[in-house]
Amino acid sequence: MPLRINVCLKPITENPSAGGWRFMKDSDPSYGSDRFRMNLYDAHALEAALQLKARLSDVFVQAIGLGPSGAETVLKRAVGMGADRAVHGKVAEPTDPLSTAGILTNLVHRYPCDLLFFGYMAEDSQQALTGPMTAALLEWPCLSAVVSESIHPDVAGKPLVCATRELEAGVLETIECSLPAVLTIQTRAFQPRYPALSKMLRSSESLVTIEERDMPTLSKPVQEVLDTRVPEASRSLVRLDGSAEEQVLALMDWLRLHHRLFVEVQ
Amino acid sequence: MSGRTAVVLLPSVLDGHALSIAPYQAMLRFASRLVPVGGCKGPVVAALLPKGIAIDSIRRLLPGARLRLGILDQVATNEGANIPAFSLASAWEELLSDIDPICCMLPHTIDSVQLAAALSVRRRAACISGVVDVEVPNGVEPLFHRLVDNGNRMARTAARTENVVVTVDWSRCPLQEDAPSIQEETVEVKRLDRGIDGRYRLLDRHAPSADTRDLDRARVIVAVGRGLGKAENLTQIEHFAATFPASAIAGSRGACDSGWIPPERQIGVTGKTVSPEIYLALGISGAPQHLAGMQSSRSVVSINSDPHAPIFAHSDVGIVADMFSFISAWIDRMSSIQKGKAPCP
Repeated sequence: MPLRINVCLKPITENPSAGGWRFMKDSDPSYGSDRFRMNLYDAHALEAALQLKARLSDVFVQAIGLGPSGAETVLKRAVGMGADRAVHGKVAEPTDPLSTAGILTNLVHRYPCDLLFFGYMAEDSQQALTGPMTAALLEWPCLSAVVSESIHPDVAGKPLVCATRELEAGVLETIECSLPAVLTIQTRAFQPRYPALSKMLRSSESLVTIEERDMPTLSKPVQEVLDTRVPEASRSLVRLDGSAEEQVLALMDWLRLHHRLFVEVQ
Repeated sequence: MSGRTAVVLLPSVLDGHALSIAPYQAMLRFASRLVPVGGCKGPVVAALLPKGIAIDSIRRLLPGARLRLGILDQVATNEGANIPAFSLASAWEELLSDIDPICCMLPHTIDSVQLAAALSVRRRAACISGVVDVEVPNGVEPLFHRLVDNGNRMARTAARTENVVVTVDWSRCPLQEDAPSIQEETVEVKRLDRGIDGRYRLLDRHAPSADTRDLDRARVIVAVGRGLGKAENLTQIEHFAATFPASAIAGSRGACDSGWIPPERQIGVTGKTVSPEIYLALGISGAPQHLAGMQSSRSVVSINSDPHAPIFAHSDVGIVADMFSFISAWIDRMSSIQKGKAPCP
């Protein structure tokens, strides 16, 4: 039986706002068919799964993503990159992390796996919660901010995952745990691969769509974003405008005045 | 909600880490703001400890606090460091079970965010990570401020549950000389039956060994982001940096992931924290994770082609320009000055 890895992908908008796609209208001409892209951290998670597949050979990689119509472009891209199957769960409204984790837990029961990968966080909401919450709901162990991972058998021959996590100040921590497990993948020193055209052309065949009526019922939101605004500046910015030459001179003047740099050339 | 309290959780006390005062102060300050909410009590400070530890040493560490300490009988005094913070959700739940806090506050670290997620699932609570400020505008509903969209927007978030778990990002909170005072000093000690999640085995933990002391000593740090574009462009950056005295080159996580800058020279949460006299940010957007590593620099100069890059809000000088055009003009000017051709600026 192959090792099954599910990779959760968040389709995000090209210009994310705190409301995500809540405020997007289908009729808005500025959002074409490519209005969604794959969250960067999730692209690294998918790449990590595909690299495990290449190393271990008998691995089935399945991408799971939630979103409205249009979000399937991200899942097709996942197939193009090398996922064996992609599951698009249609949800009309974006959800808070706990609700998202609840839906994903349900989908993991429908599409079982041994390893569940997430990107460390989403570029738009920046919460880093959905992965650990899904692990808690599934009662699986969770390793977050993983920068490398390997699978090897324990003394009884059961697979273990050994993962290195990157923590604050670059501290590296290596932890082992049994499967099934959740890993949240940190960005790494490799670029997620580009989709192969041949795979993209056949990506519809590997895409499973779960219509909204067949999705688990959403629980009441546990939190709500009331509004967003431009954050307060922490410093008083002086903007140096003009041509490149004028900007260079202005910066030299500023550094001379405030830091006594380049005074010898005055 | 009357009589409920906010609890400040200190996960790092278990592994013998010295108490980091900045996150502790920020959490206490935010927790104190919740006092008007439904007449809740002043904050409780909670920690898990290995058995055999002297409680007095913890009291000295946290003077004036209303302490609630959980003793983990299965953990020997010197074993705390081998236990991942996130594997202790059951123990925390047991420690707090009889006080039903209105809010649990944890420091915004990678491990604590994971712990917060697990705790919130157990408590069926909202979880809000990376909180940089707390306001209670009407005395009833706390609003938690957090950065979203790579630091471009500040979102005000409200919990819709009876209790909430938050992680506090203290990097924007100024350190105060006096910690908020807590009126009654009390200590409650609870022995905990529930153990550690034994599914994890810590094999190794080590800090980066590469020598980066030049970044600590540098007067000027020139840091590049994804805007560098390709490794070949680094030569120009080196020439630019060489025009400054005592300069060193560093990078954002993006630049390090791309292989342009060695990983040990990454500035930010998962890299180094620096505070040079001048920090020159070239092609760096200014994600909160990067800002946390450089915001104590004396002056910040940013060059970015995107006028809306968040880094400009945290800079003393901003130059909206293609970084390479600017650098070329800078190097031309410097070489002209050195040759004595150009009039001095």
